[in-house]
Amino acid sequence: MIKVEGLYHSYNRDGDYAVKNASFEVPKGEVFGFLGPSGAGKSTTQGILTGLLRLQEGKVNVAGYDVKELKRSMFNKIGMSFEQSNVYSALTARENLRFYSKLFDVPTEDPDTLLKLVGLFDVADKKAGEFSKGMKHRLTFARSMMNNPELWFLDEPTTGLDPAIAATIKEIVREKNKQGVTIFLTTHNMYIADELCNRVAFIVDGEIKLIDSPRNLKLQYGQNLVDVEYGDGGSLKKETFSTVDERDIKKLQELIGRKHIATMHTKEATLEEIFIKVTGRELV
Amino acid sequence: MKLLSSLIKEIKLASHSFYFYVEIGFAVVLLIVVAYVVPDNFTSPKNEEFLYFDGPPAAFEVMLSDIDDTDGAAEAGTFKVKGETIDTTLYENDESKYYFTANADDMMTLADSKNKTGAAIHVDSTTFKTTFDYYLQGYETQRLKNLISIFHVNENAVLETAYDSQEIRVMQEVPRLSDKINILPSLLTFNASLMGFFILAAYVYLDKKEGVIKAYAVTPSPIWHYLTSKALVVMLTALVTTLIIVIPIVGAQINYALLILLVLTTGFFGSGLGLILGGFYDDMEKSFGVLFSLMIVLGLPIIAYNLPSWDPLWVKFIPSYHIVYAFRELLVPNGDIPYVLWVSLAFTAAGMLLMWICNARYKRTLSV
Ligand SMILES: Nc1ncnc2c1ncn2[C@@H]1O[C@H](COP(=O)(O)OP(=O)(O)O)[C@@H](O)[C@H]1O
Ligand SMILES: [Mg+2]
Repeated sequence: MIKVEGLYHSYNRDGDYAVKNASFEVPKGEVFGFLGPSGAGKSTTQGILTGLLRLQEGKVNVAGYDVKELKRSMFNKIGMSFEQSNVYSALTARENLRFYSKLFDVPTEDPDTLLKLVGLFDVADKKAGEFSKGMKHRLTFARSMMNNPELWFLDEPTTGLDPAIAATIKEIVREKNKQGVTIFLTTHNMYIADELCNRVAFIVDGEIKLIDSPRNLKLQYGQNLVDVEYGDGGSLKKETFSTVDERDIKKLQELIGRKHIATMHTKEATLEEIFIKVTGRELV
Repeated sequence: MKLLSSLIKEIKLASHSFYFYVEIGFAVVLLIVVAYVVPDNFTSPKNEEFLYFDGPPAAFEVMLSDIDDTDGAAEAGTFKVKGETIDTTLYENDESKYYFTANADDMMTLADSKNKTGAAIHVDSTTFKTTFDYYLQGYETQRLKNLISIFHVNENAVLETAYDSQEIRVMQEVPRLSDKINILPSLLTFNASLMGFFILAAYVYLDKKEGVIKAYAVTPSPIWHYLTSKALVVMLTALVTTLIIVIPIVGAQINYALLILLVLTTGFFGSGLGLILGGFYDDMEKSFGVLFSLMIVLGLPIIAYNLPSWDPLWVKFIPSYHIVYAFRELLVPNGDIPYVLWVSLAFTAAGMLLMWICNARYKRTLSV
């Protein structure tokens, strides 16, 4: 569904790259996560894939279209939910969706169905300008489903939303994926990536460091951590050690020899811990 | 179809927008001003002359018959100059007011305080020889002084015969519009083209602030639909506001087909300028300097139109010059129709060029 090779992007074309040599493929039906701290280049990559930013260097094929020579008909097949909600404040929720639906050449969803899906049906006739941030976000999200896209781009779909709304959004994403929709999801939230994605790419400073499924990553890195609780001068201390890192192994051996160990178990790492280990960076 | 729905959306948005009502309100205010405040023709105030007559009453009678007072009777004219009261006798006809003072000093004081030319007329009681002493302000041109010097070299009767025998040929008949109609070309140019240009830029900045252009960019609808529907809304608004002013003031005395053509084509050009400005700046504040300068440059021809004595050649190279004059040609009887058509064509072409630039520009300014 998506094939990217050797993608570079520099906003000012000055050799300062927001995206560097990115290559990846997303097969049909997959939920592919782009995970990285803010400023990593996630939105930039997504912008190129959706034709908002002009392709500078590299090969990009999206839904069977070469992005270099963008054809408007590509947009009948894709949907895009923006990180920053962008709807007409002066129009009602329903009007926003209705006008948007007229811009496609393919059959579109009924605006009311979409509003019900995201819980905005009761305020369908209210101006979007009067909406809270979360409501505007849901409207933007609902709009991106208008043309029943085969390929759906979601930029930080749950960021800044309260947990209940985030849960609804996650549920919709899962449901759409079950129906066969391919999803490209951008986030700096590892829980979302963990819960929703079949595979994730770790991206830092515009570079993809690794691509794998959350499950594989946990298997590979998870068993290599040991949580140790030990007594130290009357108080209980807690530390985490790697079982592959030479220095950690030495420290662990010393600890076992000298201190009283209270508890000790290998644990499954969170995606966040794995991210930090792999990239040396935090996910914020 | 997509274009039509974009247009409907834009109309709907415009009808929700503050600017739209400002424009309509502005047109109504202009209409009221033109209809009720601007007279059909501005009347210039009567010429005032300060005179001192020194001579026999018979000669004064002759002079009065020349003045031919409207009601045949003198009135009292009292002036206060630096706390002093000066009494005069006022005779008045359609063109001028003649104030006769009691002595030469009063005449000079009045001429001085009113910045007018004064004259003392002496008629010898026996020879009836007449002499004129003129009191000028000092800044009069040499031409005027020369004219005054030669004015009395001959008898009035001789001069009059000479005037009457002079043939005046009009080389070119310039149709005259009433003052009320004459101010319309400037107002219509301002209203249709300059306002449109400003309003369109404002609409685009609103869309930029809300980020809706991005949402538009990820649909199969081309950007030029977006641009065109915006321009169409502004052109329609220009048409409505123009008609609000023109129908009540001019009535049936204008070719409406041509008027509509001219408003739409020049409005198209104005929209193009507005879109360019919207494409190159992110908000009103950033574009303010350029926007304001452009408004002034485009406004210069309007000033040139209203000040007949200031009409330098270079003003003709500012596009709005031709908008003003094309409106004028529509308003004068038997106006220059080919000129109006030519202007409409030129502005359509220029508008298309601007749209073409915008199309490329807007595609490049999208962001994530
Ligand atoms: N319009 C822009 N002009 C210049 N630099 C930009 C622009 N948008 C983003 N950047 C820069 O590009 C980098 C990547 O940004 P972005 O793709 O938005 O990151 P993310 O979505 O991962 O948070 C950042 O350093 C950001 O400052
Ligand atoms: Mg982002």
